[in-house]
Amino acid sequence: MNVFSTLVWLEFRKGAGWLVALLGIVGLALWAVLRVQDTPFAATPASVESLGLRFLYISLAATGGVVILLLSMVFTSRQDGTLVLLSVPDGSQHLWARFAYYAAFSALFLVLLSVVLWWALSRAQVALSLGAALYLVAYNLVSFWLPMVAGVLLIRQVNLSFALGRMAWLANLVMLVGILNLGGLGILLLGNIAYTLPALPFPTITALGFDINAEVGLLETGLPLELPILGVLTTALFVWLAGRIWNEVEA
Amino acid sequence: MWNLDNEAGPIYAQIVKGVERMLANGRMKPGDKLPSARELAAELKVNPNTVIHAFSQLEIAQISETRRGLGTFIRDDVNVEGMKLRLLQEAAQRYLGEVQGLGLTPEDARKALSSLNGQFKENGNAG
Amino acid sequence: MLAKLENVTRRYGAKDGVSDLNLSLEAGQAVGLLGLNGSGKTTTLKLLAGLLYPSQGKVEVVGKLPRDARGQVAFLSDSDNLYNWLTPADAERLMRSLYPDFRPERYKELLGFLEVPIKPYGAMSKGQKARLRLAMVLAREAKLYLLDEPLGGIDLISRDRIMQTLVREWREDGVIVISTHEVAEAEGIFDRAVFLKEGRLVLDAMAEDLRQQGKSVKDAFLQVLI
Repeated sequence: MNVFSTLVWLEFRKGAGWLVALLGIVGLALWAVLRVQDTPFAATPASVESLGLRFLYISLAATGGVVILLLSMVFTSRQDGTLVLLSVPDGSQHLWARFAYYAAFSALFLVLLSVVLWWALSRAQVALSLGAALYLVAYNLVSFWLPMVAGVLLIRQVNLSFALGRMAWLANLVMLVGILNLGGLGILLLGNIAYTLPALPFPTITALGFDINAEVGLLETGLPLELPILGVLTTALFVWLAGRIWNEVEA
Repeated sequence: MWNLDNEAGPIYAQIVKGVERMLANGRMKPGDKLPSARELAAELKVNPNTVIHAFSQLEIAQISETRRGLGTFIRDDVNVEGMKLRLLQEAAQRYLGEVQGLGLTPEDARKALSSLNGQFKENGNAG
Repeated sequence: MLAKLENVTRRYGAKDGVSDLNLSLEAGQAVGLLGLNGSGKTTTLKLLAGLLYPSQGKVEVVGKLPRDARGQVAFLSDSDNLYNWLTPADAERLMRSLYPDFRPERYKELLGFLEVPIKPYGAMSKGQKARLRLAMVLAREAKLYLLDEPLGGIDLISRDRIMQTLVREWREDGVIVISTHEVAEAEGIFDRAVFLKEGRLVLDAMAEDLRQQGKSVKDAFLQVLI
C-alpha cells in the first residue's frame, strides 16, 4: 500500500457523495436529451430548436457538475485542518493525491457528458467520429479544465493554511482576479507564440453533409499545441505551489 | 500495598523502604522473585528509571540479586530479623523525635506506649 | 544527546513565544514540560518537531534539522481534530502507509490495552479519542516523542490508562517529552522536569533530586510560578 494510493483513498473517504451526484447528473442529462423530439435533423426551426434544447440540457448538466465539484471541495475543507500528527510525506504528495482525485473524477464526468453531446450532435447530422470527439475533449481538459481544478485547489489551500478569518472574502477575490489575469496573460502569450510548435490536427466535422473545415477556413490551421502545454505547466505550477503552502503551515 | 507519596522524598528510596517493610512483615520472603522493573513501574505508574535505581540500591544493600535470564530475586541470606529491628529502631527514632518536639520526656513516651498495650495484636500488626 | 535547543528564541510579532531557550535531551529520559498556558510549551514542542522555525538560535534533532529528522519524530498535538469517520482500522491503514516506522502489532496491542472501541472517531467519547490518538503515535518507532497535553481534559480512568501506557512504552534509546498541566498526577513518570514561565526556562531538574530536597515536582511547580 503506497503513499499515493493511501492519500487518494483518504480523499475518497473524506467525501465521495459528490461522485454519486455527478453520476446522477449524467443520467439526468442523458434522459433529458433522449426525451427531446427525435426526428432526423432538417434545417427547420423545430429541428434547430430541439438541437438547441439538447445543448442547453448538457450545458446545465456541465454547470451543475462544476458547482457540485466546488461544493464538495469546500465541504471537505472542514475535515482538513488542524494537524494532529506530524506528516512524514511532503505536502506535494498530499496535494497531488487531492488533485488526482478531483481531476480524474471531474474529467470523467465531463467526458461522459461530451459523449452525450456527441450523440446529440450526431442525431443532428453533425458528424464527428467518437475518437475525434474524445480527442477534442481531451484537448480542452488539458488546456482549461485541469488548470482550473488546480487553481481552485490552490485557493482552497491558501484558505486552509492561513486561516484568513474575516478578510477571507477579500483574499479570495484577489486570488481569483489574479488567476484570471494570469489567464489573460496566457492568452496574450498564446497570441504571440501560437503555432510556433507544430499544430495538432483539427478533426473533420461535417454538418448536413458539408465539411465545416472547408467552409470555415481558419479551422484548417489546426489546434495550437502551445495551449495544452501551457495548461500542463500551469497545472503543475498551481499544485506545486499549493503543496509548498501546505508544507509551510500544515506540515 | 505500595504507598508512594511524591512529597515524601525520592521515590526510589520509598520503593526500597517498601521492599524492606514487606520483608519485615512477611509479605515478601527471602527467595521471592521481584517483578521486573518495567512491570513494577507500570503498576506504580512511575518512571522505569526510578524503579531501576531502587533495584540497584537493593542490590548494593545486598537485599536483592539479579540472576541471569531469570530476573531479580530477594536473596536467600537476607537477614529479615535484623531488618525488622532496624526498621523498628528507625520508627522509635521518629517517635522519640515527635515526643521531644512536644517538649516531653522519654518517661512520657513509655507511659503512652504502655497505655496502648491492649490494642497491640498478637501477630505484630498495630491496632 | 538526542535533541537540543541552543539559545532559541521564537517571536510572535512583538511577543516572544520562547526566549533564549537552552535545552538538551538525552536518550532514555521521560521529560515533563511544565508551565501555565502561554508559557511556551507548545512552541517548544513545535520547534522540536520542525513545525516552527526559530527566530534565533538552533534546533537539532538526532544531529539534523528537525524537518530532516521528521521520520524519527512522533508528534501528537493537543488537537482532537481527526476525521469523524475514522475507525481504528482506518487509522491503521493511514499510519501504515504514511509512516514507515509504524508497527501494526504494537498498534493492536495498544488499542487493546487502552480499550479503544471499534467505532468511528466521531462516535467516541473524549477519553476514547485521546486513547486512540495515543495508540497511533506510540505505535511508531521514533526516537523523539513529543506529546502536547496528552492528559488534557479527559476522564480519570483514561488518564490512568494513558499514564500506564506511557510508562510501558519507555525506551532506552528514545526520549519522550510530555507537556501537561496535570503535574500532580503525572509527576511520577517524569525523570526530569523542565519548567517554563513566560517563554523562559526557569527550572530544569531531575524529579528525584527535587524530592531529595523534600519537594515534590508539584511543589516545585507552584514555587516557580508564583
